Amino acid sequence: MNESQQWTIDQTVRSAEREWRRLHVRGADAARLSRDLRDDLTAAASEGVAASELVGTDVRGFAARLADEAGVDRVPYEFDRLLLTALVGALPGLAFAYGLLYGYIPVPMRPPSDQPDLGAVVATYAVLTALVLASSLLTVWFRLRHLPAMPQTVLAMALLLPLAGAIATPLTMAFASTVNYSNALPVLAIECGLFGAILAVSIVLARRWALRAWGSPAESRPQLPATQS
Amino acid sequence: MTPVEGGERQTQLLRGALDMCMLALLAKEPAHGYELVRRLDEAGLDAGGYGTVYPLLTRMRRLGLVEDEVQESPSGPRRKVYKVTPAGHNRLVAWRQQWQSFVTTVNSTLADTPGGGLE
Repeated sequence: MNESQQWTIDQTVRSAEREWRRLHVRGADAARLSRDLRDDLTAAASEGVAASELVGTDVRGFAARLADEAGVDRVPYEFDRLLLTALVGALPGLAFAYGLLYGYIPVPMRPPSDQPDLGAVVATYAVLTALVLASSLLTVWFRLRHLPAMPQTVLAMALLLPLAGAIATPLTMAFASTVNYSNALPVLAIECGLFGAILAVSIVLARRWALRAWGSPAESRPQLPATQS
Repeated sequence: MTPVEGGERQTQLLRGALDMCMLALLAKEPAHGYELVRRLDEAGLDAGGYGTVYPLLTRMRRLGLVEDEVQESPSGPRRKVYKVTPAGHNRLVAWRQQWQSFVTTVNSTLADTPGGGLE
């Protein structure tokens, strides 16, 4: 087998591996499929048939069919549903927090003073943040509790989201200081995007953390419910 | 529904019988993936190439109808050769009977029609 044939096999197998990763095929299954495919393409190449001739140009479609027919497990990340539900779930908490903060919702409290206590300000914002977080987590739990590993996911989110908030807040404030705390719409959009992106990353990490057992061999992994796609 | 003609009709007819044909060819002699594609071609079955046959072979392995065996070669690369399992042989017997019954029924149906292939 010459170098060109080897290069074609490598390219084909790499393209297939990318597609399996995109499809969230479990790592161990993807490795097995990859090894088998490489062996078969190598055997064909030794008879003078190039991998590109066999698989054709639609390597992604071939890889997807192969994964389907092999009946491999896919890691049920469900990132899009999780992110959307977390966002929608945060909205009632945000609205409630906004109402409390700006006095639309009356609460018994001490009269405001000219010298606000920093501790009280921090505590107020911490309580409001916890309210938003609780609203989001409860919604995620009630709406998505049928998905695998959701208790672990919600727990991981409860741990990682405050950390993400602690990272996102100074970063956003640092950005705001560089633009002189401008209230221009593009600046506000960037600040919201920055904050949201960091929170989204923490949610993705929480889900990956909760599902890390799905990357291990089948015998140590919980079974998917029948409704899971 | 538009009637399907020519090569597409041939493909549709083969779709339901391709796994049986693959099993029959492997029962005659074990083969690796590409070799099986070549044998299907030689048998006159336009199976759609490697892109169709190899995933189907993977499914047959998952279902326990075929199993693979790695053959080391001193001169060339190692090969994964697929052969029919006892369960696959049993399934092939059942499929063959089902196919023969089906073909008999279709043939008798066609024979009862005007110009039913008897001209």
